[in-house]
Amino acid sequence: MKEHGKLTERQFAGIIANTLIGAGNLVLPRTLTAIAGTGAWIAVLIGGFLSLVFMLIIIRLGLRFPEETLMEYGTHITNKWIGKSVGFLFCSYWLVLSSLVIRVFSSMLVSSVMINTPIEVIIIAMLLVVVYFIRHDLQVIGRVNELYFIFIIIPILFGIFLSISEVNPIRLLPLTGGQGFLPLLTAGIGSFFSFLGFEIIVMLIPSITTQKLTYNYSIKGLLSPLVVYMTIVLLAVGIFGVEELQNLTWPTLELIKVTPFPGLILERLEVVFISFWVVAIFTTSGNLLYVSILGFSQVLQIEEHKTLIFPLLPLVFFFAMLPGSIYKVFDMMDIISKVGGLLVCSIPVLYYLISVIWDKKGDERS
Amino acid sequence: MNYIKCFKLLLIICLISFITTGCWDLKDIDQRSIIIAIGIDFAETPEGSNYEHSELIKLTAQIAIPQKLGGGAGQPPAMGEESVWNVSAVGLNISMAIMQLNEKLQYEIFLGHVRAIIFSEDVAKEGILRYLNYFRNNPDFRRLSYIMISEDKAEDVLNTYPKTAIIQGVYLMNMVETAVKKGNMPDIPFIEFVIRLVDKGIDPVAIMINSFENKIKFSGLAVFKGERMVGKMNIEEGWSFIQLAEKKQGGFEVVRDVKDELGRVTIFFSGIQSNLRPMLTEDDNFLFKVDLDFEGRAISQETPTDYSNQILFNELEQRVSNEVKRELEVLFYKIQKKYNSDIFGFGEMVRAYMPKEWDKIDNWREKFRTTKLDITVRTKIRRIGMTNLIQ
Repeated sequence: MKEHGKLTERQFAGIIANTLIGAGNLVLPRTLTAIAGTGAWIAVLIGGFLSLVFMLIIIRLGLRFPEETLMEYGTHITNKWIGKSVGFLFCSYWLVLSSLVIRVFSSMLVSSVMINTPIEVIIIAMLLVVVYFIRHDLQVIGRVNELYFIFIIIPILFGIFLSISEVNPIRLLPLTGGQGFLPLLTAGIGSFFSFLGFEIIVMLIPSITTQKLTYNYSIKGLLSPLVVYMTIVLLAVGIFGVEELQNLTWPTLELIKVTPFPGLILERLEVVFISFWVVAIFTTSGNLLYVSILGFSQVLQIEEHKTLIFPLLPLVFFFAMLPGSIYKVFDMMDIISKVGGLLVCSIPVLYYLISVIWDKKGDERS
Repeated sequence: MNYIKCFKLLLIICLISFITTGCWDLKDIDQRSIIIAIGIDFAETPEGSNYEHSELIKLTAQIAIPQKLGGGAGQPPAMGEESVWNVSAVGLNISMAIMQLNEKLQYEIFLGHVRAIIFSEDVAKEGILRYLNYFRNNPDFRRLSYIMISEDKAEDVLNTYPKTAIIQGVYLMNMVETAVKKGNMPDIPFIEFVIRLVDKGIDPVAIMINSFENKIKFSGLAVFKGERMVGKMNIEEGWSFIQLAEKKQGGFEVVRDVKDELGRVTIFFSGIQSNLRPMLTEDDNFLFKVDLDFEGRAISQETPTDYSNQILFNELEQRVSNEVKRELEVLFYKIQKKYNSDIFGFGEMVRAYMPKEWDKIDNWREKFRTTKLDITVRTKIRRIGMTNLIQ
């Protein structure tokens, strides 16, 4: 068995948090309020709860095979071909998602800050950074995530702090959306898709140093994105109201635009916001691409994952450039996250059931 | 071997310098035409043209002259007329007018510093949504700049230079901000105006200004119904509006003296607590219970009445409350009956507190027509001043 790198629990939590905070919440307030109205924050809670459930299932499955990743125990639970094709599906999904994350962010950059810059340039520049990042092994990925978590969360908290004075409480009411439970549930499932990305832990569990703490730290890792998502949704609804949110392509960016900075020192706060958001996007898409390439290397039984980076890179660029207009980007994001949601909801549960029924277990850790 | 390595490294560094410099969108600050304020009027249609009166707009842009600002050592900075330059352009819509404007300028225009957009009253009466769209789509445009309505031509307002104005557009913004801070103008920046325009349960208002010679003056608030301006409130009505809808204290209240009907007492409001709740009456109309608690101080008294007497004092407080209540009711029923525009945001209240009822309403304006108001006003006067000296 190949030796997996080492990952401390905190790094593990950092990876989960950084993967989740990314492109999703750039548009989240609009998509959720379109369905759930002012009850959108409950939808976020529902989505967070759903993802927590599936995450715990994944961990439970993963801990039955403490030395193996999804690609490896998949072949043990089922047969070689099914296991490999399922692994292949997961990896392709991560690859496309990672390229779309970069695309969504670049679209925002091009449409709001760097208007004259061709989108290809931004995508290529970001891809190169990501490639540099994922050429290292898991230990480095873990450290980067642990460190960058601070660079992501502090600016977000700061922004929240500044914009809280702009909230008009009447726009937040009625807190439940006032349309009954069904829209909340629909929007909750919708918000579950923006929590996708936590499933990359199927590749990370064997590398954690103290596996007993996996449950603990995975919940911690999920909690901070949940809080961030919820506050952003609440702020967006409180500042713009549901009706106006439907007219904003990038609600979170607009949120920063209407935030006054004390004393007019910085009149255009969004520039600062975007420069920090680059970090969030970088970690999201970097982590996704890393697990995708690691997965591919395990499926194809290649010793070094680095070998695959350059062959797959054109593919990432291709998927990032595939959708034409911004609407197509959102459509494709929608489709790919539905595919991902289907994978995440079905495969781990199936695998777990099979492994319990036929009593399959991996080797204990030495 | 070593040479090759060096060469490779050099090549990479050269390549990286192409993509990491970020100069694609570089534009030096002095190579932009920075617009401080924008005025929008209807253009006079030229003789014999095919355009209707309201088709052509005239956009006046106030452009800052950076070289004149700041001044040198020992030199006073340029003021008023010298620091800005007003340029007008005519077009079918904002983007065409701005294109025409660009033709007249050395550098490309930059909207990131716009402090105020001023519409003339006749433009506002025709509806302004179509003009706002350009600014909303522009990523540079500041969402916190102010929308104002000028009674005469917007161009004239921009051409009025008060003596203390260093940059005229910034002067306008400061004027509004001071009034907002004092609580006698509603705080409605661009984005708030747009939100109120879009929301079904509220109609926007905008600050109205007027200009004479070298003075600019607030002349009240413009009442909108949807995107069209339908009427105006004067300054005092504006205060009542702020007290009712914005939970700010507005200005002051002048009442007759309790003992001596010829003298007056002026009460300056320093705080307000307001509580607003919608209810449904038996005949299916909405009733709004408004509880207002004012706090104020007497700033002038023209009679020698001794208000240390508790009975007189209470009566004075009662008078102030009654007067405020009367003014609020007059304003509310005027807006309701005459304009039928819900600038108070009562519809939003219904949406917030009675979501079930709100779902049943197709047209809030129809419902608003029959809405009733039940106002309770209480006043607490904290300080009365030294009155006995007059005797």
